[in-house]
Amino acid sequence: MKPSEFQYHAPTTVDEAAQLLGTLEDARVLAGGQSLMPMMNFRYLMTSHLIDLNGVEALTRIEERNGRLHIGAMARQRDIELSPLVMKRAPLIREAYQLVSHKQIRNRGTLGGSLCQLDPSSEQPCFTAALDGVLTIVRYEDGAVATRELPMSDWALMYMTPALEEGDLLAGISLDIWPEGHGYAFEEFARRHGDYAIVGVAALCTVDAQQRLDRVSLTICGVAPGPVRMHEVETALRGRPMDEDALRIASDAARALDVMTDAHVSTDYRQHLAGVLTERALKTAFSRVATQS
Amino acid sequence: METRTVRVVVNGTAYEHEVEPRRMLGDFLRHDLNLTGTHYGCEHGVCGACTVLIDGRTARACLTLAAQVNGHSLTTVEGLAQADGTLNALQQAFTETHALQCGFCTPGMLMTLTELLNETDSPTEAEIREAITGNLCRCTGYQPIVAAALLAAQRIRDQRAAAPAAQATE
Amino acid sequence: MAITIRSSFIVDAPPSDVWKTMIDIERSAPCFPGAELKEQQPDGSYKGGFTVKLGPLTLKFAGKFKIAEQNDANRTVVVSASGTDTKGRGGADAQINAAVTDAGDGKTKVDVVSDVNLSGTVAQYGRGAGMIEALSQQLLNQFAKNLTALIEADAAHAAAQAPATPAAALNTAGEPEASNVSAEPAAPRPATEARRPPPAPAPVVPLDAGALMRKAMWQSIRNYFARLFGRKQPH
Repeated sequence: MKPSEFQYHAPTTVDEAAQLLGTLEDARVLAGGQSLMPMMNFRYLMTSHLIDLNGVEALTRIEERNGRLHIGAMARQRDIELSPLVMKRAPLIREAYQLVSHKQIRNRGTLGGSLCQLDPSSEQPCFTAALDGVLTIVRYEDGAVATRELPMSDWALMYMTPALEEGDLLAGISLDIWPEGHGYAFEEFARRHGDYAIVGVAALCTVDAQQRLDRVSLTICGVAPGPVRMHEVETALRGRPMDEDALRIASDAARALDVMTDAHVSTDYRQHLAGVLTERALKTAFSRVATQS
Repeated sequence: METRTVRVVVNGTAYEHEVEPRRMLGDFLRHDLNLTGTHYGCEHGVCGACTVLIDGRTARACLTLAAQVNGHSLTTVEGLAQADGTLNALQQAFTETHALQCGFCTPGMLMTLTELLNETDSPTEAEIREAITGNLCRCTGYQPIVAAALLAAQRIRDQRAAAPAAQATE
Repeated sequence: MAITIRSSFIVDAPPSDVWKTMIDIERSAPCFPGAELKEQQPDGSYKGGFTVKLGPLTLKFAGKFKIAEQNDANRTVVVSASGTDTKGRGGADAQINAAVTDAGDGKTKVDVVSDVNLSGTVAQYGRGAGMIEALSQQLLNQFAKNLTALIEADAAHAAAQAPATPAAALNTAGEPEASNVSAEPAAPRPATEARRPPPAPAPVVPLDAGALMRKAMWQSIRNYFARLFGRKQPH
């Protein structure tokens, strides 16, 4: 139950971290450690070099820039959860974090780490997709640090495998800012508080002057390797009142998702949950839309 | 073999040690610093027995490398009581409500509840229960632990209410 | 734990070519992504390795495999393979039944039924059979691509050696050993080349499933973690 030997590096800048990752053979980065360290303790994962990112302050910032919410990959989940800026600009995130594990984990865990771990049941990839996240990836190449951006829709390649090439470092995430007063909800079903979601749903919406749904974002996690944005439903709901028909359109689509079974939960059950939680999330989000005076 | 220097303050005392990079914080506390109050129940982050405070925030000592606390300040269960052994309000409440039997989960419980009581002086029962979801107990069924937290919170509030009056008379 | 994986793929080449290349282990094995073929043993089996990336983990299997049964008339073959993770995380035993059939249009269908037995830590990955199935399909798709490329290269090479008697130039023997089919002394081909040498082994790049097509999969590293973490979430 102890990790195998490795060499430890503690960079303090992004460039240094990228360079280490790009030049060392058999190296991994250490973010919050809440998923990596258990794997290393069990010796599931062994590495020759561990690059500790916890000293790179530049990766921890939470700020608003150019109309988007920017969160550094090493921002602690607890800091994001408690950030007044995040509460103001993306209240969905705080609601989601209430369901993420326990405070002890969120105190150390990072958003970037969670996105790279890419557990299908994780809430964080789910809200990142819901908010049209764009990921900033850096890599050290030919003596310089190159940057590229990737939309969240292209992030999940397969089960627990994000679109990171060897030497890539996730540096930050930017998220859409919805208009003030928008409706939001994160609904989830898990057996115990803090457990992985069996199924989770993130919903965002705005309404027009006639209280009909205008812009909608609907994302489901726990059903596929990555979070599933229900684009067709979002389009179908536009211009509709929030009524039984609208809910049925959404929940039928959720139930029809191709979900494979596993040892714990059958396909039927997961599909059922997807349908029920989709309805709940949409209803709650709609009810939260601030009424204009 | 390469080692790292760890300079860390634990419960107000400064320590300096050389450690292997893979030395876990829990082992560092228990074996290098002889602070055996922090317990290992699972070594993969789910039981909470190893919970300590790093810069005032709870963390799992089994998931943190000792090298990572270089330059930081820790509080462990040994730092709760006074130097003469007088238990603090939370510990006292634990003994009164029988919130421990075997005592294995207790250090983690205490550190988690210490963080909660630092954040809020009037936690509700629901908030207490939520706070300890990351700490497993096999003996007590949690009820007396919740009772201890409520009792301690009450006493701390009473102490704080009494204190300004005492200062005013000086 | 035991699972059965059924999968198939199409190769853009006639069945006879596909069969011939597939049973020539020294040439077809390197087509399998992440596979590394080593020396042949006296008993006809091959030592080899197989590296595969599953999410955060990279598994390296070392072991051996051989052709257990081969039916040239029906174009069916049974390969048995076994290996253990070099880091001690468990092992795998597999019986792979492959059948090569005509898919029409100059194409070939290869059906593969694999009975896989996982042991040790890796067995915990296997609990979500769906994930392993989907991963296997990805591997076979890549194998098919590589095999097709190899066959096409063979065809181009054979065309370039047009004067050579095809039967003598190519090894059609069913035995997996290095060919030493003796040609008729009069056969018009280079005496040193009994058959095309195996391709230089491609650098063994651990199968990065991320490089393959996205596909919905369901899964059990997560179950493993779910059990590991008591269904709570470390991040």
